[in-house]
Amino acid sequence: MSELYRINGSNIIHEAFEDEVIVLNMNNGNYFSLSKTSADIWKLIETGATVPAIVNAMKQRYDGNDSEVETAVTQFVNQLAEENLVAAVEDRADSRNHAESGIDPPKERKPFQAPIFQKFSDMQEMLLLDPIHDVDESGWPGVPRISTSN
Amino acid sequence: MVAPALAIDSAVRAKTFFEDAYRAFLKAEKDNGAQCKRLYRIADRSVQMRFANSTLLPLLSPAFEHLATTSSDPTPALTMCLWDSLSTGVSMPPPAWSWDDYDVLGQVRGFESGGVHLVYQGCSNALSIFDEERALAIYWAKDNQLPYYERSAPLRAIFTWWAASQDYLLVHSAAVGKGGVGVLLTGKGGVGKSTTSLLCLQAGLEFLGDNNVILRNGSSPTAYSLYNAATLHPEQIRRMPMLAQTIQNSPPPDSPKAVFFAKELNPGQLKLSLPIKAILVPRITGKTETRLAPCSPASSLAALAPSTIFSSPGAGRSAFKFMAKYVRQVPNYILELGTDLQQIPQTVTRLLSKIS
Repeated sequence: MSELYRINGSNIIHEAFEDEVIVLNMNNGNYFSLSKTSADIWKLIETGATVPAIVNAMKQRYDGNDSEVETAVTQFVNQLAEENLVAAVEDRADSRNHAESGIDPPKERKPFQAPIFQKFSDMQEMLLLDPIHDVDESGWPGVPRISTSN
Repeated sequence: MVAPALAIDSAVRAKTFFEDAYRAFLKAEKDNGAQCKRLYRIADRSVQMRFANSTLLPLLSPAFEHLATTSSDPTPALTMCLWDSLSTGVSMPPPAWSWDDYDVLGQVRGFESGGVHLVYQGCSNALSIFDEERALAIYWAKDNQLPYYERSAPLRAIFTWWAASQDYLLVHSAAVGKGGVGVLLTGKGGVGKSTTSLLCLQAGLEFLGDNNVILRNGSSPTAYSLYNAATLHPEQIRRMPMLAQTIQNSPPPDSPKAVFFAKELNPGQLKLSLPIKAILVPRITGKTETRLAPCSPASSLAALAPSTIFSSPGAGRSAFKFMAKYVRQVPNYILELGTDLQQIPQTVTRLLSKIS
């Protein structure tokens, strides 16, 4: 596993709210809701923090078993990578080994909950339509239409 | 990133094709001798539609009838040129791209360039092109066999591009109101926003649209009406008898929905725009009662953004950021839809009375 990840390109669009992040993958129509610990991790990836730095930040912010926190964070980053939302970075010139901001240390540490995301694939069908097949001599389609709902 | 020379080449190709298409329209208009112009007031802007003949007029214009105006503007914010080849005898020039260049939304890869937008909709056999710089759009269809959804929400691609050029956004949402203020009803198809908005219309509330409205950000977030047409499943027709009386067509065998025009019911309920004071995310619960539960702006964005972005050519990051800003400006609620349908407009009405 790499130690550094970045948001995987301009086709991954996202917006962070107080403790939630909404992510759209323009390549395949999937979209995701991240909250609490998963939202924190996403924001830290955005800042350029390395995975070890993210793990440390989560240990500072949340009360949990150190080993469990580390395992949960690395597994979650892997899941984000498997969904092609983040990509491993080889050049670490801009990485940070200290996770800075966006996540201020809280006055009270809440119990650590394993980061998860909600994944929605109901928009994929819009990207799977292929209504254009053959063309006629004018260069424009001349086949019967495929009926779809709007 | 596209190399500069390639970008220039794409822009030239796009502009050249647009000019060729526009010349074809002018020939169709001249050959058919008709002056079929319609003027509309859309999102506080003047829009002119020029039809080469009358063939497409009864198919595409009824959805905009509530926005018709007689006030002529010498410089409309948008001029649209519309024709079909079957009735005019004028063909569209051959495409300047290969068949493999289409993406899944019908856009041509590498053709979104120089401020020219283009999409081919296979289900309608129709081409839409928009030149931002000239505020000029072309809609061409092979014939007049347009599917029901093209007649209930016509020219959507062009309006999507044009709205963005005006710093507005065409979204997949309904909007209703009372006392001059409104709420957005948002979510993907099937969550109940269209049914909710039509129940509200039937109950006498002000109405902007059941599935598509134009949004404006700013100190007073606003929604504008675009279509007064809605499409109804047979089950919706059964539940809303008042609307059923005005249905224009019975669903043909290959079409699951009927087209209904709200203007036929009560034109006074149709509004051109409303300031939006809340966003509601309908959710079918299966319970009897309908209720409102506050939710986060993130929940509204998750309901609003995906269906808007993935159904609209060219909608991407800027549209997403627009919506993210919009949902932060007003309160957000889950509208838990109960099976007692009367409670739905009553719940919305109570909220509107509270926020007006």
